[in-house]
Amino acid sequence: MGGPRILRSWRFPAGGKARPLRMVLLLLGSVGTATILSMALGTVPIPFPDVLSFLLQRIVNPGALGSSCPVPVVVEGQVVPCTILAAILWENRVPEILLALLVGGALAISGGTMQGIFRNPLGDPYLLGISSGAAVGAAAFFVAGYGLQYALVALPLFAFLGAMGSAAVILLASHSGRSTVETLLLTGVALASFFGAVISLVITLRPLSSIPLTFWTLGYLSNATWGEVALAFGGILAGSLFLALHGRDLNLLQLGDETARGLGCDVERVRRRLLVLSALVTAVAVAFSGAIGFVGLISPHIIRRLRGPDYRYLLPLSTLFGGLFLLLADDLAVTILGGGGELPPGVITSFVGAPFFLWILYRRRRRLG
Amino acid sequence: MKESAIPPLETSGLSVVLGGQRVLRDVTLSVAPGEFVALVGPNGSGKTTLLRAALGMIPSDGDVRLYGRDVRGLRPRERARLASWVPQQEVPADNLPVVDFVTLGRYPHQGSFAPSRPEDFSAVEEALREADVDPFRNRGVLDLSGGERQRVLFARALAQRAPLLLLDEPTSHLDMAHQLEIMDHLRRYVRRSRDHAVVASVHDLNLASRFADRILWLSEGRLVSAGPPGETITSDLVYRVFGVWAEVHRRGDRAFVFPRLDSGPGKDLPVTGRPQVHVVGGGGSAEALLERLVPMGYPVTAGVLHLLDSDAETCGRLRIPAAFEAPFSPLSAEARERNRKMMRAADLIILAPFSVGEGNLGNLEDPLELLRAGGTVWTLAGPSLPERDFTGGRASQLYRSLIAHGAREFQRMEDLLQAIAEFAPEAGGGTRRDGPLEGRLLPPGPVRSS
Repeated sequence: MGGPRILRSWRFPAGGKARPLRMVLLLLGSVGTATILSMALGTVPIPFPDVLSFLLQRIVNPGALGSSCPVPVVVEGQVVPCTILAAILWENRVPEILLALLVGGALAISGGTMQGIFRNPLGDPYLLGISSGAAVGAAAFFVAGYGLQYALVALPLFAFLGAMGSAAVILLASHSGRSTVETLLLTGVALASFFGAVISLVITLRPLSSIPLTFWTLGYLSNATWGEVALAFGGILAGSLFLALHGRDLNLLQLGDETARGLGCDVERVRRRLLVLSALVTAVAVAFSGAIGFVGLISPHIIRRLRGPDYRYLLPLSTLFGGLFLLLADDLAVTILGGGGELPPGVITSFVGAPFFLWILYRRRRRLG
Repeated sequence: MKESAIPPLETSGLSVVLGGQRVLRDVTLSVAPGEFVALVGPNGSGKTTLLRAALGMIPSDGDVRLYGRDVRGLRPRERARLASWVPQQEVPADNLPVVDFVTLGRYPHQGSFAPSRPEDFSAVEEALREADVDPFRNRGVLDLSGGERQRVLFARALAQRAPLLLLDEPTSHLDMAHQLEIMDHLRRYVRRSRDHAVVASVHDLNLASRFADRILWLSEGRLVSAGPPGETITSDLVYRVFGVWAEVHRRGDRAFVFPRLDSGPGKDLPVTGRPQVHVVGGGGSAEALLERLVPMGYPVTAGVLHLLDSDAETCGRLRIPAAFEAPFSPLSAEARERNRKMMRAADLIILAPFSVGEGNLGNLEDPLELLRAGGTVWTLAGPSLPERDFTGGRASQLYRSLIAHGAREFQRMEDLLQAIAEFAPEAGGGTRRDGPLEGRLLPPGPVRSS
C-alpha cells in the first residue's frame, strides 16, 4: 500500500541497535586510528614510531619538532633527516588528513540532509548536481582571473553561488508537481552533466596550469594548506552544527508535508533553509577539494543501518563516518599509486559508491514492484 | 470557564478554489465545545478540503477561527497547539520506533533545537497508554498493522495536547473492531474536557450516526444539511447527497441506513431527457423493475396496484407515486381513471408480467386504449400468458392485441432497461399530454412502512 513516495529501501529495523554514545566513541576512535595510519602512509612511508614521536613532540614540546626519530627513514640509500620528516608530516600530511576529514564530513551531512528534505534515499550533493554547480562556481573564479591572493575567501564564495544555482533548480523541480525520486534524480543528472560540460569547456579554453581537470570531477586532496584547512574548518563546522540541530525538523518532514504542517512545521521554510545550508557546506568542501562523489550518499545509509533513522543522531554520526570514509579512500588512493602519482580520491569513492547506488536503486525498484 | 464558551472551530463564508476548481462554497459552521462532529459526503464533496482549510493549510476565502482566533494570523506552531490534524493517508518514509514517532507530536511545544522536557515525556507516556499502543512502543511504525498504525497516529495527536482534533477518514483502513474502537476513543476524548472538540470526516454513515453528536453533510462543496444523527439522516438526504437509495431505521436518538445494492449506476446517467416511465404491475411482478428504475433516476409512476400487495409496498418504500386500489377488490372506475391519467402523463408505459384475473383486466384494457391513441407501450415478458391468464383467454386476447398494435415485447430486463436508456421522449413522440404530474401521489399511511 501507499503512494509512489513510499521508499521501502528505507526500511530498517526500528530503533537501531547501537547506542549513540557508544557509536560516537567508536567513530572517534576509528578516526584517530585512521589519522595515525594516514600519517604513516604516503610517497615516503614513515614508520609508526616516528609518527607517534612526532605527535608526542607536537603536544609536549613543539619547539623541538623533528629532534628525534626512533626509526631512521632511508630513501635511495640516504637517511632522511628528522626535521624533513616532521615538515612532511606537519606541512603536507596533517593538512591533507584534516581536509579529508572535513570534506568527507561536509559531504556526508549535506547528503543526509538532502535525503531528509526530499524524503529520498538517493539524496547526495554529487548526484543532485550541487557539487558540480559549486565546481563551476569555483572554476569561474579562476577563469575570471581575479588575483589568487583572494582565492582563500573568494573561492568558497564563488563555489557557494554555483551550488546555490543548482539548489535553486532542484528546489524548483521538487516544487513543480510531484517530486518523485525520478524527477529529482534526472534533474540532478542533467545538472551534473551540464555543469561538467561547462567546466570542460572553460578549462579547455583557458587552461589552468596549476589545477588539473580531474580536480573538478574527481576531487583532489593533496597539497592542502593550513589556510585552506582553517577556512574549511570554520565554514564546515559552523554549517554542520547548524544542520545537525535540525534533526527534529527532518524527522518531522519524513512524515510527509501534510502531517509536518499539521504539527506546526513551516515546511517550505525549513526545507529552503536546510537546502541553502547544505549547499553552503557542500560549496566549502568543493572549493578546497573538488567534486567528490558518493560520500554523501553512502555515509547516512550506513549510519541508518547501524543506528536507525532518527535524524538527531543520523546527522552527527554521518558526519563522523563521512570523514572517516573519505580519509580511508584517500589513503587507499595513495597506497595504490605508491610510486608518487596522484590518484584522485573520487576514483575510490566512486568505485565503492556507484555499486552501492545501483544496489539502492535496485532494491527500491524491487520493493516498489 | 470562560474558555469553553468560545467555539473551537468557526467558519463563515469559507470558500476554496483548488486548481481553478471551486471545491468549497460558502461554508458556514460552528463547532461547539465538547462536540463530536462527523463530516459526511461522497468522494470529492470537499470534506478533506474543509478540514485543511479549517487549519489554514490551504488558501481560502472567508473567515476561519480556531478558539476565536483567526487561523491565518496564527503561527504554525501556535495553530498546532490549538488543533491537531490526522490526515487520512500517512506513509512515513522512515521506520521510527512508535515511541519516537509519538514524540513528534510534541513538536509544536518544543523549539527546533531544545531537548525534550519532562512534560514532553509525560504527555507521550499518557498518549501511549490512552491510545493503547504502549505494548508495541519499541516496534517500527512501518512494521505495524493498519489498525495499530491508526492508533499510533491517534496517540501522536493526543501527545500534541491540542484541544481540537481534526481527522480525515480515521476509520477508512480499519476493520470493524478497530473502527468502533477509534470512534469510541474520539467520543470519550470530547467528553474528557470542556474545551475538547472533534471534527472527523467519516465515510460510514452508520458509524457517524452511532458516535457523533452532529452530522454535517457536504455535497459538491456545499454544506447541505446539519443536525443530530437521529434527525438529519433521511433517505431523501442520503439519496440527494450520495445518490444511493437507503432504508432508514431509527433506534433511539440515532438513525441507521441500509443502502440498496442496486442503486449504483443511476448517477452515471444524464440527468436531463429521461423519459417518465409508468409501470403497470401487480402481485410483485413489477418489484424488480421498479427497484432498478428508481435509482437510475427515471421519474417513475405505477398503477393500478392493490394495497398490501408487494408491488404496492415497493412503491411505498421507493416513494413511487401510484394509483392504488383497496386489497382484494376489482379495479374501481376511480382507480382506473387515476391510472389512465398517470399513463397519459408518462412517456413510456411498461407492462410487468402480472397475473390477470377478472378484477384487474383493466390493467390490460387501459394500456391498449393508450396504445391505440398513439402512446408507447412496452411489455416485459415473464411466464407465458396462458399460465397467468385467469380470465378464460380474454387476457391473452388483449395481450395479442397489444402486440398487434405495436407494443414492443422484451424478453430480458436488461434489454428493456437498455431500450429505456436509449429512449428519447421528444423523438419517440411520447404520450405525455397532460404535462408533468402535479404533486406526489403517495400511497396512504399503512403502506409507508419504512
